[in-house]
Amino acid sequence: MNDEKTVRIDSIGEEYTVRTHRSGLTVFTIPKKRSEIYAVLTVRFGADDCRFRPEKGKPVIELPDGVAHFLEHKMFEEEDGTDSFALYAQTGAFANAFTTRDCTSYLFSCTEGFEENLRILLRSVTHPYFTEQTIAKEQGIIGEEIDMHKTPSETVHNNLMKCLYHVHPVRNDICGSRESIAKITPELLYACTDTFYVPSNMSLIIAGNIDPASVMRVCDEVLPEEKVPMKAVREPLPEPESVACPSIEELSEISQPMILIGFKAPVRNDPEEDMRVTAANMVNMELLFGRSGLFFNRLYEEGIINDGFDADYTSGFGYAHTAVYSVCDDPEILLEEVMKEIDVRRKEYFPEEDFEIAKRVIYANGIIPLDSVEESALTCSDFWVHGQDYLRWHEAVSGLRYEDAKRVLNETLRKENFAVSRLYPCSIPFRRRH
Amino acid sequence: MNQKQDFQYQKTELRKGVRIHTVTTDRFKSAFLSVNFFLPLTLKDYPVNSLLCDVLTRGTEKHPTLRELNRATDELYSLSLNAYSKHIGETQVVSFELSCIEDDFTIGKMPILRDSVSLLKEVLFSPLKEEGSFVKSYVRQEKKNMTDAILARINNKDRYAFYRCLEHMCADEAYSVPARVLPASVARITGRQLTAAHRRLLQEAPVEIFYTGRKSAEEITDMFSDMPLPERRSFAIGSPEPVHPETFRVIRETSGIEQCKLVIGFRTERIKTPLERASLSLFHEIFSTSPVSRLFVNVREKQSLCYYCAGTPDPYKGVYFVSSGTKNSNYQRVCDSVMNQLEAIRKSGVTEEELTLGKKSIWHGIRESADSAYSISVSCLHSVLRNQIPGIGRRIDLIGSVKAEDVVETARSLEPDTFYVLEGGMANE
Repeated sequence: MNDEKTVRIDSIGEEYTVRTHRSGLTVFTIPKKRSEIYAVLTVRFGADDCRFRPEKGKPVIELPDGVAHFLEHKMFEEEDGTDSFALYAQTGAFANAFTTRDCTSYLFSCTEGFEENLRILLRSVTHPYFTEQTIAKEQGIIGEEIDMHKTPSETVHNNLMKCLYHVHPVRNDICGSRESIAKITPELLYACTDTFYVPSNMSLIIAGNIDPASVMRVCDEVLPEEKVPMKAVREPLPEPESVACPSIEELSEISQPMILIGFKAPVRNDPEEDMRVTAANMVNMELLFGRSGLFFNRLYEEGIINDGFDADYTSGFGYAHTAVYSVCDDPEILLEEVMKEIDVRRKEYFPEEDFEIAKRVIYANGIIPLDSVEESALTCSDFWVHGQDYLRWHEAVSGLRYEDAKRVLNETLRKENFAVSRLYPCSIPFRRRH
Repeated sequence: MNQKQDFQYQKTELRKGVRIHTVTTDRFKSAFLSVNFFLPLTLKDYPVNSLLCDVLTRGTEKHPTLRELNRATDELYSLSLNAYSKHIGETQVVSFELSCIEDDFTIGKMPILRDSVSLLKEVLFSPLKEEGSFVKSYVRQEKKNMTDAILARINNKDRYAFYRCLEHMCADEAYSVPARVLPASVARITGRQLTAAHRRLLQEAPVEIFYTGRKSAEEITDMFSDMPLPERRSFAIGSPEPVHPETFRVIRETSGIEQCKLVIGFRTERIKTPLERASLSLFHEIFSTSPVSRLFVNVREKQSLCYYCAGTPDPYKGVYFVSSGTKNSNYQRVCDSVMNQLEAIRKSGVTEEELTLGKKSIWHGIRESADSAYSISVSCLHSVLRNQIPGIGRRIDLIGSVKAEDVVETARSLEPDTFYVLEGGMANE
């Protein structure tokens, strides 16, 4: 192990220590006085990594949709037919995993047997085992998971992604489709684990009352003695700046229309810049559409929107967008109001006093989650995936300058780059069967 | 909480029927506080109290509009201030909650808790009124929002299926009230009813206040000492009336969704003593909760029938629901598998290993509940409802005392009542 570094931010009472294990694994320990210890092992391989060369000079591998998520399900299975859930259960630990656009995370939380659980986590994620039979079994389960996700809110979101993006995989569902996962073979899964499931492409984050030495001891025991470099070269297709199509409408068994208005934003490749721009965008969302803003309150009082109204900015590798969501009787009125508000605020930004309060809201929203070992570890993981330090977020928010936020609003919310996803109620009545 | 020295629990009776429970700890960066009023759960009052919560959070004398109220919460570092009506078993609980960052973590260590509590009291005691009544336009708007929310139940088919099962299974019981509120009953609510409901809260309903954070019991009591809440009766949670289903009813409905949703409702009377309730927790763990549970291993992993097949126990009512989503052609297989797994426990029992692992998993959950201000307050509330002193040691010991035969007795006590199926209209097989 080497290059140990401790970062402490006194104003928010947080600290972490980061080390690099000899295998290449990045290890964060976040000390917290809690009963529970939460550990997450994150692999930089997510749903969007579907086009890559295993190493420079080798041919491009194109994956069917849903492979990263499928892998996540299969990593719990051991070669001897047991699964790691059964091993975790021996200590009463809770274990789970999830896949995002950019990464796959495996986690456990425990109040006893920490070292044993850490051994299970590191072993299971670094020892893949796949066969035709176990894949076939999982296709049934994931097929049901895919159907479970076909909800109105997922549909309206997925349709907006199809509007905003031409080729970026963010267009497609993280789980893939029944058809795409039918193409998965053991060879394909091994190609992914050989390429991406190497310690130098992973981080281990542990939050709670822990002894960092015990963490490194278990890493020494389980992980390779030498660093295995990650040689993959991601080959994403170039995504145009424009939106792919202006609108998608669909019918669904819902009570009221749903609308999701999206603005495709410029992608910031520099992690520091991305964090600053994200802070500015979140403050802008609060100013434009927050609960204490003029816009929300006027539309709420006029009955155009209700408490479910929401607006958010999201960015990842190769994509960035703002989405404004609402259930409303007349989506066209809301669309018109949103566009009008953006137009006005592009010309005349908010008063400085409002800007300072919006910053305070975003600042506080970043502190409360740090009470939880889970949220601390997952926030650290999410920032690590994007090459960022989660403890610098508060500084990015409190240090945000008025002029910068104003500039970012103009760059992010552009009329020429918007698209709309609408879902209307269909008239199929529920029928009772006897 | 009594096990750990860094938590100090104190109960203070402000006056008869109004109690404050404080857990003082410096573990967290945020504090949580809730003021809870307890009432019987009835179809007449439940929607009125729900609407009352929505109207009370629209504006106060000092902050007359929603915008001014929200602005005040923003200035208090994004104070989360909510009022809502929920039910615990067949008791209605009207809660006013706040969650805020501790004074030590605001920029410049600005003190905010006292102002946050003042805002909560404003919402509760000084709502904006016109000519002695709640503001008509606020009532009208919140009625529409509540109606829209009721109609929107069909948007979430898992939740919809659960509510439909509840409606059928507990048709004439208070327990199903939240599922039976219709738009028409919201439309009928009058301003006078809202005023009466508000008065009832302030004058009659037993009150329990819970706080977890850095302040002492004395400081919190001081913040609430000026509350105009007169003496009232103390609260005691009642036992539900036992219900024995005559048959195992099957209700089938269809919708346009792709995945069929199913809910199986059971009843049990074995919830009367702490040991019986602990046995239900262990049964639930072994039967359906964990990834080594009977349903996860046999219905999901071995048969690949579904992604989820999970139970929900309610020890206050004595009901147990198993929910799943699967292909249309598989729902009967899922139901049969669930019943077979239940029968296996009834006949052959559970292994010592299952019992041990189940206990470890529940112990983990109990210990973990001391890790957030919110979950400590919630645990305290449940202890108070059961007339027990809050603390994790007692709960851990109780789970430890459950034997394999107790779990089998719980399995045997479960009587299948209703099998609700929401079939998908689009075949995917």
